[in-house]
This record gives sequence, structure tokens and C-alpha cells, in this order.
Amino acid sequence: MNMAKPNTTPAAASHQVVRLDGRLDAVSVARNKQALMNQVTDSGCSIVLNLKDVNFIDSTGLGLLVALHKQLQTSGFTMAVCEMSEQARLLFELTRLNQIFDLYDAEAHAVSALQQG
Amino acid sequence: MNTTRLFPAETAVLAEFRTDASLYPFLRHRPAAMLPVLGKPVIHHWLNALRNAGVKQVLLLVSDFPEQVRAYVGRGERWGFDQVEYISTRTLNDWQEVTRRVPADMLDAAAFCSLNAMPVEPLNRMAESAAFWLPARSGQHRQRQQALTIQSPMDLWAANMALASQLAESSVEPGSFIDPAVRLEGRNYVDSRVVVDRQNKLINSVIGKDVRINESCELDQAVILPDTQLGSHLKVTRKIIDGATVYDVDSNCTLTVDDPRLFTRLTRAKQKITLGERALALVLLVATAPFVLLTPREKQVISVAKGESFDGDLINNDIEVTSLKTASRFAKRIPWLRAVIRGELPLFGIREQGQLVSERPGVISLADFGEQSEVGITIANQYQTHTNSFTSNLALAGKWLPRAITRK
Repeated sequence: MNMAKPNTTPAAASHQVVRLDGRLDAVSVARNKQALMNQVTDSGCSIVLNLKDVNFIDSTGLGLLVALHKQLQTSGFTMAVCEMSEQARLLFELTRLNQIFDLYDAEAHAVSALQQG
Repeated sequence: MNTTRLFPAETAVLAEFRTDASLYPFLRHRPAAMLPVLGKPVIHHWLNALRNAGVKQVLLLVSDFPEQVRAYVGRGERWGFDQVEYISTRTLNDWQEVTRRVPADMLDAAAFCSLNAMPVEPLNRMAESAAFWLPARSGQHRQRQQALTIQSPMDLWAANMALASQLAESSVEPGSFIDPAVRLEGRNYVDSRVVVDRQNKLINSVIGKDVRINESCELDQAVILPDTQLGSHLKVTRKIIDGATVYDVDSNCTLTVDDPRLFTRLTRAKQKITLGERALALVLLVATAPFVLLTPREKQVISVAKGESFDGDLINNDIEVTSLKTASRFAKRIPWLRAVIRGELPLFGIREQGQLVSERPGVISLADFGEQSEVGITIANQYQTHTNSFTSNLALAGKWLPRAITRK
């Protein structure tokens, strides 16, 4: 089973790009949640979450994204989500998370939006 | 276009053809003929239209899940047909394949109808056609007959929306529970045995049988196929939901997420009464016997579902049982244990409530243990209808026994 693995790319001091791949389900979230949360906490900046290579999300995966979002908000930062598949976009719409997250088609757009504050 | 009256023709041939691959996720559990449109399968709409047109004999060419079509249509008694015959085939691609399977004497006299489209009344035939065709895959069909073809999920959604728009107002079939706080706007169709929890909003949507919608969802032009559970706080706009499969009309995209908190298929518990269930009933009867001997009794007739008829309605068996005259909902049904031992009643089932009484009334019901409001009982009954695990039933029996003998 593929696992979601954080893969960070320093983009600028104000934010960090985190790329996830594989499945965002109960199994992979249980294995990777703490590492991902620590990474976000330690980063000390806003996050661009790239979901281009995530091929499946369930309610646990959505829960992880909400937890990340809350964690960043508590620290005074924001999170942008980008390059999600059509299926993931549909799931965000169905669960109304599209009203909570800032969603972008391209990573560059998300980075630009965060840089503009 | 010139059309001539198709009927009177006393024989109709109904054939189901290969659909677009995009419809396959919705055909995993049913044939195209059984796809529901406003609560009834496509074939039901056709048989109604043919009966109204005076057809007496029907020949059905079915490929996938033929047993479902046979179980539903039976011998056509509901429609008053003299004869219904079936030919099982591999998936059909065109009418030429149909004609090769139909008896020669029928070819010139019968009306030919495609189950990949909804009937349009009054039924007409193509004027230039030698036979009484209603072509299945021809683009002409859509243009000339303006029929609602059902070749893709988009078509299925459109057919449901078209029929729902013809309703005078929202329609809720008996046996469903809709919380009083649910907002129904526009023309909704809610089939039987549906539970819609609080703070939901339904706008111009079609909800199939045995659907559970948890709280705070908003459904707008949604088609929910039977045996589906929706989680809470979902926003379902212009979609078809079939168990864990979601189709989005606007993006023409299909998604599958089998997650009980989002979407999942409800499977029905087996109706069979097992030997273990009977043995446990015997143990419970012996254990409770000293406590019930001095209690007055009364005769009661209850209905138990024997199965489903060809039109989807439940067929019931009336069983005479003895109940205790007591206020305790736990002790009242103790004598029913004898019916369980005889194999007439399930030990674990639902609590009597309106039309659900015929579903699976059992001696021990989950509904007796929780909230006693109408919604609490409805939800517990629905849960019981769809789950029947050995361990949870055993735990239920363990909780039931002390309450029954103390009559609390």
C-alpha cells in the first residue's frame, strides 16, 4: 500500500511546499500524521500542500488536512492546497471543505497567493 | 416527422443493450433495466406504458443479472399480461442481434422497445421503419422521439430530474422518517424506508429506498440510489450517489469513497433464522419461564416479511403469537421465543413501528434500549435491518435478559 509521504521543497522564507503522495487513508495517516504535524509545527511558516500525486483520500485523510489547517491557524499561519485530482476536488466540494481551504489549480498560483499574504 | 400509431400491437419485445462504460459503476449490482428512475426501475416504466397501450404478451431479452429482472417482473401479473417470456443473452449491441433471437412469427407483429431509454407516451413507431422499432443506440432516437435515453450517468440523472419535475409537490412514500426540522424545497421524491435526520435540506432531489441521510446535509438536484448511507454535513449538488460511488454531473466525473462517514452502501441483514438463533431462544425461554408463568397473556397477529414481490413490495406472512400483558417492552415479547424456536420469527429484529413492522420484527430489538422517540426507534430499526452480526446480537441478548426478568 502506498503511503502519504511528506516531501518538502523550500520555496521562500514565508512558506514551505509540502508534497504528499499515495493514499491519504486511515493506514497512511496513522503512520505519518505525527511526523507531518511536527514538520508543520517546526517549519514556522505557511504551507502549500501539493496533492498532485495523492490518488485516494478518505474521511481520515480529510481529518488530517483539517488538523494541519487548525495547527497552522493556531500558530498564525495559513495553508493553501493545490493540484488536487478531480476526484479529490469533488470530495472537498461534497464535504464543504472547499469553503475552509484555499484551493488552487497550480502550485505557482498557491505560492503566489501566500506571498501576497 | 411523420409518425404512425404503433399500437394496437399485442406483443412487445424489450431488449437491453450495452451502455456507455461510464455507466458501469452503477451496474455493479443491477442490470440497466433495473436502474431506478423516480423510485421505479426503467423496466417498470416500460411495462406500465405497454400495458396502457394494450400489450398482452411481453418477451424480455436480458443479459446481466437476469434473475433480478425475473424476480421483479415475474409472470407480469401486476400489469395484467397474459404471457411474459425471457431470453437470456450475452450483452446485445444492436437490433440485428435482437432479431436473430426473436421467433420469426413475432418479427412483423411485435413492438420492439429499448430498455436503454424511458418510454414516451403515447408510444409511436418510426414512420419509415418497416418494423416497430424504438432504436436503442441511434442518435435519431433522441432527436425524433425526444426520449430520455439512459446510456450514461448523466442520462440517468436527467431522467430522474425530468420525472421529479413533473411532481405536483414533494412526495414521501409511507414507511420513511423525515425529521420535522428537515427542509423540503421544490419537488422531492422520497421512497419508502428512508431516514432523513435533522437539519437536512432537500431541494428537487430523488431519494431511493432504504437510504439513510445523517444530519446537516444539503441535497440539491441529487439522485440517491437505494441502500445508500450519507454521512453528516455533506453538500451534494447535482450528483448521483450509489453506495460508495459518486457521480458529478457538472464535471462528468465518478468518484468512489467507501467510508461510512462519507458514503457507503447499506447491505441488508440476512433474513434466515439460524440454528444458533433458535438455540439461543430456547435458552432464553427456559431462563425467563419462571418469571412469566403468572403474567396474563393476549393473542396478537404480527406480519413477518416473507420476501419482496415483483414490484418491490414486501410480501408478508401473518403469524399468531402470544404476548404478555405488561408495560415492560422487554418482557412483553417473551412468549414470542417459541415462534423463534419454530423458525417463524427472528430472535433479533426491529421494533414494531408503523409500516416497518413487517420488515423483521424480532423478540429482541435494539430500539428497546435507546431513545424512545419516533426518530430514535426508526434509526435503531434501520440499523438492525442492515446489521446482524453474531457478537453484537449476543451482547444484545445479554442486556435483554436481566431487563426482561425484572420487567424494567
